[in-house]
Amino acid sequence: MNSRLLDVKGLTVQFHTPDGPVEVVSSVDFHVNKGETVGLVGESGCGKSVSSMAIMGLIPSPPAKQIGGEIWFQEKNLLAESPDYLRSIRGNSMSMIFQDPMSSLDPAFTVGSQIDEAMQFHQKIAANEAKERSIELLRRVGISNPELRYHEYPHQLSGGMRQRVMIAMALACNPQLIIADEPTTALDVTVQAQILDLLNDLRQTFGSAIIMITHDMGVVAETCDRVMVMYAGQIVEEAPTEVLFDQTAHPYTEGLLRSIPKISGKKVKLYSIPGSVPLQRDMPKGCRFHPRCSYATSLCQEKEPPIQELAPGHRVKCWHSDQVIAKQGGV
Amino acid sequence: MEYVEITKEAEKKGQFAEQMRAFWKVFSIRKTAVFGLAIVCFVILIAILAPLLAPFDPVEDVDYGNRIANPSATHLFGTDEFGRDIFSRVLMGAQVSIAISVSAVTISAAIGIVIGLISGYYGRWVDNVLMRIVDGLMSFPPILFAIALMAALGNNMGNIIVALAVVYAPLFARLVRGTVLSVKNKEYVEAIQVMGGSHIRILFKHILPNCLSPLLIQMTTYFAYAILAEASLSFIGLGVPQPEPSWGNILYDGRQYMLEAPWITVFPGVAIAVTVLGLNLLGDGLRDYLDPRMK
Amino acid sequence: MLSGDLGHSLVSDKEVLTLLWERLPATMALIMYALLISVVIAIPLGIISAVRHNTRWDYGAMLIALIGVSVPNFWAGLLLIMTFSLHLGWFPSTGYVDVTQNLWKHLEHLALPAFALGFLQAGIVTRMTRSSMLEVLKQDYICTIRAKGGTEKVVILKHALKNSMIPIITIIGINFGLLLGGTVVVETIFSIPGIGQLLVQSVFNRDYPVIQGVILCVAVIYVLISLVVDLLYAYFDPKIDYNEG
Repeated sequence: MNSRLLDVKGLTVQFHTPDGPVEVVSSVDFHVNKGETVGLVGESGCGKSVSSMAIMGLIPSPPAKQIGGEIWFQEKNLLAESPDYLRSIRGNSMSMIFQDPMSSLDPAFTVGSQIDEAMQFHQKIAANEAKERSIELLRRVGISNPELRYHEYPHQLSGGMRQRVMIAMALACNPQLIIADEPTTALDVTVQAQILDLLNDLRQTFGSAIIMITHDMGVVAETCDRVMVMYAGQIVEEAPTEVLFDQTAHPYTEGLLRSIPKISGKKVKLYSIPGSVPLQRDMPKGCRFHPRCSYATSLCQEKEPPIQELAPGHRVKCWHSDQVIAKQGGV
Repeated sequence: MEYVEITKEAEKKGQFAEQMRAFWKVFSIRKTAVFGLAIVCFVILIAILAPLLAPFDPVEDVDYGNRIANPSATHLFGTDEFGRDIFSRVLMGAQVSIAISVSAVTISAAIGIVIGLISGYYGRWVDNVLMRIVDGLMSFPPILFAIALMAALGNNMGNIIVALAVVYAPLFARLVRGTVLSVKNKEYVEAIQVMGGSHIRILFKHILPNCLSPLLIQMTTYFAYAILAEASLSFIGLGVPQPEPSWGNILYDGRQYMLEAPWITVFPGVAIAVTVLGLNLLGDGLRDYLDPRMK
Repeated sequence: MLSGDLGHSLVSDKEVLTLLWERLPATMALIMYALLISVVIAIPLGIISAVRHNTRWDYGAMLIALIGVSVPNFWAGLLLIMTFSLHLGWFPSTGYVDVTQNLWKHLEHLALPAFALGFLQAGIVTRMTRSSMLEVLKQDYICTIRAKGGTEKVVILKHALKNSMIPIITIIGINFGLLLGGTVVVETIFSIPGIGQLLVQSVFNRDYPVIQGVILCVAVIYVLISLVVDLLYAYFDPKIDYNEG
């Protein structure tokens, strides 16, 4: 228990829309241990970003919302804490890297002052000391000429550099948990690899745990210790990375893995999962994945499958996981 | 091409009622916009019916025995220094002020459309010359420009319309030109050009319709500005000549009697403010409906 | 005319340039105060209505702004005179005292006209501040600042406001013409010896050299204002760098 940094229990997020309440995240359970990298995988709209924003306490309010469950972080249930307490840990012991570095930095301030700010929000620190540390951070995330870059504005930097700045900003207060929301999606392929390498390096030096939110199984394979697969607001499979790749137990995970292009081997048509994520309004009965699933039977249409533990740390929410595992050899 | 035209024509006819219904469905969500529309319709109706509604003749019914009288049952808004009925003067003033504003905005929009279409569609030196003139005209504050024009033309009703039309036309020209430029390079217009559609046909059938919604929004806004401008001009004595009433020159009369007879200043001012408010609300509603980006 | 000689007034035989120099300080003071009043009212009001979007605060602020853009400034001036000088006697109703003579009297005389003139501008700027703020508050980088642990005060007053300034400054610049135009009427009502009053007088006197001079003078002010606006752009938007031209 002591090694658990973050423990999410029964997290449920509802938005109130003119058409009635919409449940975006449905009783999700997961945990993150100290220093580990956990992947949260799924298509867009599956609730992975909303879950992470709920952890940060940053779900925007205008669509009225309701959050249920518990989020335990450093012995405190964040959902029961005051907004002031949440603010004091945001950017401090818990920080976030966003998807699009082009739009995530304030265009009207220098990048340096934005990193300084991350420290000044939480610590009493002199301006020149903050500057020194920001420059050091810029150097650590692999930006050349950090003294010069410190004074530059976001528009003067390339996408990859801006994402490095975002990472430096996230690291400013030595956080124990970093939530990286699709940190490479908006970048060029070559830059993507560099950023992932950087994150891997920094994890070792800083010892922060990372929640890697992505839809890309390739990113998962490169960075994560453990993976959770989300579909339509639920976690459908959870396993250590190798286990997930070798003994896939959920048809949706199987679909995600088959849709990664492989460089080696013959040219085959890239697989795509038929259909799309169902709208929350007309969520299918039974298993939420059954309309798109090739294993689906009448059982799946009627009853929602329970979560089964196949092996320690390998849980799956499917009636037919045995068939999925059995099929592995044949693919 | 013929086929496309025919189906388009059919669509237009069949869909007009449908479009109006769809428009109303969205537009009526904004209660303030509906309220604005109601005010504008009400004011226009009053302006049209003013001669029938006015209990007294606003100019001829001079009553020296009854000068600067308080509002009463016979004189709802009181009387002025000649004993004329303010209520009747405000009603007739509505007709004068609105007639001036509507004509000025319509004429300036018409000039603006012609200049904007030519400038935007033909481009090159025509565009350059026209836009330099437009920029030059726009470098004076509208009211001052109108004052200078009135000084040169002399004040009567026709000249106010001319002055305001000249002042506002460049703004419409800019707007239309901008829209033309954005539509001109769309693929369907190029396709029609390639197929040999005549310029006139392209301009009026394909480009002009796209300019209509921004034009409508801007006309609503400038209608409000024109009412304010006419009132300002008349107020400083450069607008509608006495004794003809306009909202601005009733205010001008009332200025000397502010302490004894505040009603002379209050009522025409309320009329202006309410009309402009209605136009602003209507304009906001139209903008939200026709141009959602501007929210 | 190009040599700076604007000719002589047909009425008073003074040089037009001298007339303008005499009249300009009052007008500039009036405009500056009006601008100040409008910004001081409008920006907080716009911020409140954006931050409290779709609440009573928002509706209240928008109503005030709407009244601001709908009430003609000469009427506002008349109402202010009626209430605050004729009835309450708090302010002088007309006239002007120069700063150099008596600062307090100067402000006292210009308070009402500046309000009458600034009210319209305040309405316009409030509406622009609100829409610009709403747009900026939707941006990703606002979320980044919250994620860093920034307080709402920092998010709104430091980051969102600076990013909202470009459209706000633009609208102030564009509507500077309204202020200049408004001075004509407001100076007439309050008998302030500015260039607006000069213009009206010379129109009635058919004093064409003076009319010409005033119009030219206003156009020059207009150009200078757009220059100032451009310089402010560079401060608020670092992407604009006039040195690189």
